[in-house]
Amino acid sequence: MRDVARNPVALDLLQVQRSRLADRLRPPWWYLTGSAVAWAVGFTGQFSLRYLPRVDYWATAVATTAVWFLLQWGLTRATGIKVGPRPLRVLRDGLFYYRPGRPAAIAMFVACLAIGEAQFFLLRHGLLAAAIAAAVLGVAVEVALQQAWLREVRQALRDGEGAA
Amino acid sequence: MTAKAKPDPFIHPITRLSICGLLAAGADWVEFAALRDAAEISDSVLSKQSVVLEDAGYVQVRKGSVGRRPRTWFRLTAQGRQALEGHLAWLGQLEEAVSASSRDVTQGTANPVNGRTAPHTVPSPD
Repeated sequence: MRDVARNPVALDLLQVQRSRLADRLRPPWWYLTGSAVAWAVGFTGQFSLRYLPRVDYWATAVATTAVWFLLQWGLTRATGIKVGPRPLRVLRDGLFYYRPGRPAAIAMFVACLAIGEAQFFLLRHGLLAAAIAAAVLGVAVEVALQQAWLREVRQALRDGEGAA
Repeated sequence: MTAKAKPDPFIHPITRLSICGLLAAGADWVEFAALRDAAEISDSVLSKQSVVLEDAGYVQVRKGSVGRRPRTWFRLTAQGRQALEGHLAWLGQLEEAVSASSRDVTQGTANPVNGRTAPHTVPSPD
């Protein structure tokens, strides 16, 4: 992928126009709130595994994924710009094909695994309060990373670096 | 992939160049209103120019609706991306030629031939 418009003749006007396009991709309040709720539901998975064995873990994973895709769909409708994972390519190549905003997307994935493992460890040792604190911290970290992802996407749109 | 530098009559008008340049920025699909606002053109101009680009096979158009409101989405095709790359490469060559000749004029060494080919004229799309 490369910027087809990185060219001194056309870039002046295109940069201004691309900046206008990128500025539309600012997340509305409901997007961030919804993301926080989705991550909070996701991080309850470890608690339900420990204390509510009848609740399937996959149910929380499916609920989180569904809310996340719903939010992405809403953001696309609200901003008029569709960016993000292309399902077939993500299935084929994994997260490493996730463009633009790949570093933040990978960081989100790694942070999710790390916080899940930390919760599992803390709950195994009976440290419920610490596990709750880890979940709260996890939600904050994931929402911040999601913001960073959108910032990277906006920057890519400005620079044309997300050109497929 | 390096595109061959050549002028493209479909992309050359500034509104179509803006539309293609915006669609090449990295978004998968861009909605009509977003494209119109970013390019600062009117609805009718965007409609007209997008039809030209769609007929040329440079832009893919998807029409849908939210409730009763129609929504139109655009994206650049592979053919359009290649044409845009070629056109921008040609514009780059043109800019180089112009700045080199203005340098020559400033230095008082203007030479109409100077070993360079003159910039091409853009053929009409018709």
